[in-house]
Amino acid sequence: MDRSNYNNVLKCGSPLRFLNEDEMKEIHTSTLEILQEVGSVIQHEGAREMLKKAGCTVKGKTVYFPHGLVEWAIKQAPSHIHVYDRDGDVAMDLGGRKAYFGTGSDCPTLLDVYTGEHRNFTTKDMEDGAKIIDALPQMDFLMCCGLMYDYPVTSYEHEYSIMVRNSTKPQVVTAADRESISNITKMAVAIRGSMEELARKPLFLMYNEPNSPLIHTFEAVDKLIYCSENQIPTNYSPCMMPGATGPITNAGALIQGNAECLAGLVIHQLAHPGSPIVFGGGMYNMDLKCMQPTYCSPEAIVNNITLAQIARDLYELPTWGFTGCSGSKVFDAQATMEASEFIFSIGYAGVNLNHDVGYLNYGLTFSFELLVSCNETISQMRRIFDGVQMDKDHMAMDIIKAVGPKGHYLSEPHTLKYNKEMWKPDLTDRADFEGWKNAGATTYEQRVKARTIDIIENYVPKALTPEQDAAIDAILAEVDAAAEQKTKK
Amino acid sequence: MSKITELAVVVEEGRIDDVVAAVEAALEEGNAPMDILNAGLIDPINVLGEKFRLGEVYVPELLISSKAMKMGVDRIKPLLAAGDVKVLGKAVFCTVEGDMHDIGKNLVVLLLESAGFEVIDLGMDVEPDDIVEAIQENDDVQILGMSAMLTTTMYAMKETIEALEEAGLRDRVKVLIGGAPVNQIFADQIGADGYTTNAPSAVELCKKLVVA
Repeated sequence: MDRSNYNNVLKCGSPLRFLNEDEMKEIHTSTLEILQEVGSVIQHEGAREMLKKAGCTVKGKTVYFPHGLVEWAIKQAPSHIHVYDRDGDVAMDLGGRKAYFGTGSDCPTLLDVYTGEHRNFTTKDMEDGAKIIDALPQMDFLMCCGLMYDYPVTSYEHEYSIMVRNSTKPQVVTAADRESISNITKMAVAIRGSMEELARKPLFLMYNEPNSPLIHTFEAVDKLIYCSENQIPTNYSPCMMPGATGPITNAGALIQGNAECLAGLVIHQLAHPGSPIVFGGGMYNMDLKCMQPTYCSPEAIVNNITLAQIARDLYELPTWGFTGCSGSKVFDAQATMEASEFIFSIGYAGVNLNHDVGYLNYGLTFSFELLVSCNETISQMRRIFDGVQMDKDHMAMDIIKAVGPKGHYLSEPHTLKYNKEMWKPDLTDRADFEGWKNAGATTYEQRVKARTIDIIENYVPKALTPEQDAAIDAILAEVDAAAEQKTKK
Repeated sequence: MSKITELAVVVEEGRIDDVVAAVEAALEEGNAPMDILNAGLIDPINVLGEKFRLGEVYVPELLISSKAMKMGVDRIKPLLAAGDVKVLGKAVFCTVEGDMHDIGKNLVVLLLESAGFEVIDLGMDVEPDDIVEAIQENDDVQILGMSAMLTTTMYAMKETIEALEEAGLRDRVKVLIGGAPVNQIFADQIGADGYTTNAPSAVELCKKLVVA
C-alpha cells in the first residue's frame, strides 16, 4: 500500500463558513450572557472554589461566570498544539485549517468483517482496530474503536496499552476518572522516558466532555484539571442532542454548546494558564421519531463546523471535529454516502482534529470496512483541497507551445514528471469494462472487505522495544491488582 | 361537534392553553365527568400513541398532548370518585450511581407517563440504597427501571439487584435495564427481568410485565 501520503496535511484554500464575523460575535456575546445569567452546574468543589476566587458568583453547585474571566481564559490558551508519534516525530500540527483524521472510541458492538454480525468487541478486535489504523496512510491518530468488555474495571488502561502497542500514531484516549487518566499517562511516560519529555512531545490527547445541558460532572472537571496541571492536551466537547438536551435550532445549539465548552475552558485555564486545549463540540440533533442522535445529519455537520469556525477565527484555538460516520447499521451505500459527505464538509471547513471515522449506528457499532473505505475518501478529499499549483512548471506554458495544435502529451517528460502528483486510486475502480471483468468483476464493497481482511491477517505494526513492552505490562499488572483489591472491598 | 369531541381535538393538538376551558365547556354541556375523562382526555392520547408507534407523529407532539391531558385530568379529578382515574402500573426509574447520562431514562419516563403509568423518577447518580429505600416506601411499585451509559457504571445495576435481594424486595418488583453499553447477555448475567434497546419498546415491555 502507498504510504507516501502519510502526514500529508490539508492546505485548505477557502474555508467553508456559515457565519460572518458579526454573526460569530453575536453567538459569542449570547454565550457570555448565558454563562453570566444562567451559569453552569459544576459538580466539583475544588473547581468551584477556584472559580469563586477568580471572580465567579457561586450559589450551591451553580457557578455564574463574569464576561471578563471567560475572555481572559480564551486569550490564555495556545493557538497551536503539536502532537508527536511514538517515535518522537511530529505527527499533527493542530491549529489553523489543517485537517487530521482518526477513529472514534468505545463502540459497544463491532460489525464483524467475516460474518457480518453485530457483536461485542473482543481484545483481538481491539488489536485489529489499532493495526488497521496504523496501516491506513490517511489516518493520523487512533481512538480505541470498541469497548473493552474483557476488563470491565480497567478497560481504559487496557485500551491504551493496545493502541500504543499496535500503532506508532498518536492517540486520543478516553478515561473513567483522574486515576485512570494518570495510569494512562504512566504508560505514555514509559514510552517517552519522563513526564517532561511527554509534555514537550505529547503522544496523546485526552477526550473529555460536559453533560448537556450545562452540567460539568466531578469526573469530567477532575480530568480537565489533571490534564491542565500536567500539560496533557485535551478537548472538552459537548455531545449535545438538540431537541432533547439542547435547543433544536442550529443557532440555539451553538450558543449552549459554546457555553459548555467555554465553562470547561475557564476551569482548564485557571488550573494552569497556557495549557493546551482543543475547542469544539458535537451537537447532533435527536431524531424525534426514532429518538436516536443523528451524528451525521446535515444540521449536525453545520453545528460542528460552525463551532469550530468560531474557535479558529474568533478565539484562535485548535479545533475539534466529527467525521466519517453514519447512522446506517451496515457498511452499505448509505454508510459511504454519509461518511463521505461529512469528510468533504470537514475538509472544506478545515477543522483540525476529526474523530469518529468508522462509526455506524450513531456510534453504537464500529465498522472496520467503513474505516478502510474512508481512507480512500480522505485521500481524494485531501487531493481536491490541495487545489492548483501556480508555479511556472505547473502552468506548462512551454509544453503547450511546443506541442501546439494537433499534438499530444502522452510521451512528454512533463506528463511523466507530474503524473507522480496525480491522485492514484487504491480501492476505487477505473478499469475498462473488460479489465474489470477479468479482474473478478468485484464491487467496491468486496474490494474494501478484501483489503480489511488482508490488513487484519497480514499487517505487522512496528513493535515497542522489549523495555517499553515490559514497562507497559508492569503498569497493567499494578492497575489490575489495585482494581481487584478495590472490588474485594 | 359535541364539547367532548372538541376537547379531544384540543388534547390531540396539544393546545395546553385551551384545555381547561374545553373541559369546563364539556361539563357545562352536562356530560358526566367519567365520559369527559375517557372520551375527551384519554382516547386522544391513545390515538396519538398509536400514531407515534406507526411513525406518523414525533415525540414532542405526543408529550405536549400528554401535558394537556394531565391538565384536563387535574381539572376534573375533584369531580370523580376515588379509583376512577386508573393507573396502568407504578414504576421507579433512575440512572445509576456514578452516571450523569439520563436523557434515555427521561424519555422512557415521559413515554410511560403518557401511556398511563405512574412513575417515581429518582433522577441520576442514584445509589443502590436510595433505590431500595424508594421501593420500600412505595409498596405498590411493580417495576424498577435503571439506566447506565458507561461500562464503568453499569455494574451499579448488579449491586442494586443484590441490595434488593438483601432487603428481601427482589421478588416484589420486575427489574428493567437499558443504556448504550448493556445488552441482553448482561441483563441475564445480573439477573434483570428485562432489557430493551429503545424507549417505545420499554413501554411495551412494562405493559407486558404489569399484566403478567
